[in-house]
Amino acid sequence: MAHQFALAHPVISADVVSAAEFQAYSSRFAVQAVPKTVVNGRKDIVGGMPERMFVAEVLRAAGIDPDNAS
Amino acid sequence: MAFLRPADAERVRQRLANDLHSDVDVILFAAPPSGLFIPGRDESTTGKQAVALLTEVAELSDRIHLRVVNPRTDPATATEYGIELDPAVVIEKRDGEGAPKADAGRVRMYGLPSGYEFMTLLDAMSAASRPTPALLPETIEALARISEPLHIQVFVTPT
Repeated sequence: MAHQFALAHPVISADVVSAAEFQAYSSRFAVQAVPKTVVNGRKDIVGGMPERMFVAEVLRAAGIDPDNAS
Repeated sequence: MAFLRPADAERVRQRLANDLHSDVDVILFAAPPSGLFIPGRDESTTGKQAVALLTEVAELSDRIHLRVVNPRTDPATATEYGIELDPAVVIEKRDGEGAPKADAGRVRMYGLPSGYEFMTLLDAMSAASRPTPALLPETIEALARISEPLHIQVFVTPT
């Protein structure tokens, strides 16, 4: 879904990282369980979730209130 | 050795024929292992396998345009696509003219895209080939509110 977000909006880039293959890199982001999503290197979202919840989390990570459209 | 058994290759060929709406560029960044172990740095050994797997997949559809880049000998291209690790796969849509899009490097996969991640690869190619995203209209509207660059990393497979 992160890839689809990136394809939907040009300011977004999305990586899927194999945590098993890149353990040192993953440890920099404190990956202990997967799936784990990191936005802009800091905001963590642990676990998978439906599209509506995921987009709300991504907006919060961008400093945007998902419940306030203005 | 082939990654895909003939029956699986046929299924993938059919899926690509159904799902790829337009041409996609697949850029694989892969290097042979250096043989050096540096503590704290990942040295992936799957570069060669990634080349073999992606080559097999690209042969299953005329819509897939595979380019293989060695990030050790061509670091400029790796930098252009924002590649931090390898093997890495970048998937992008082609413009109507057949030229790659300018905003390179938005959709990346790090690691050998096998197992469950093979489906992620097929999904990403399918998504990149679509004229419009397969997302809810309200999701597209919500994402449009983001104005600053946003980098999403999804870590998968157990460590």
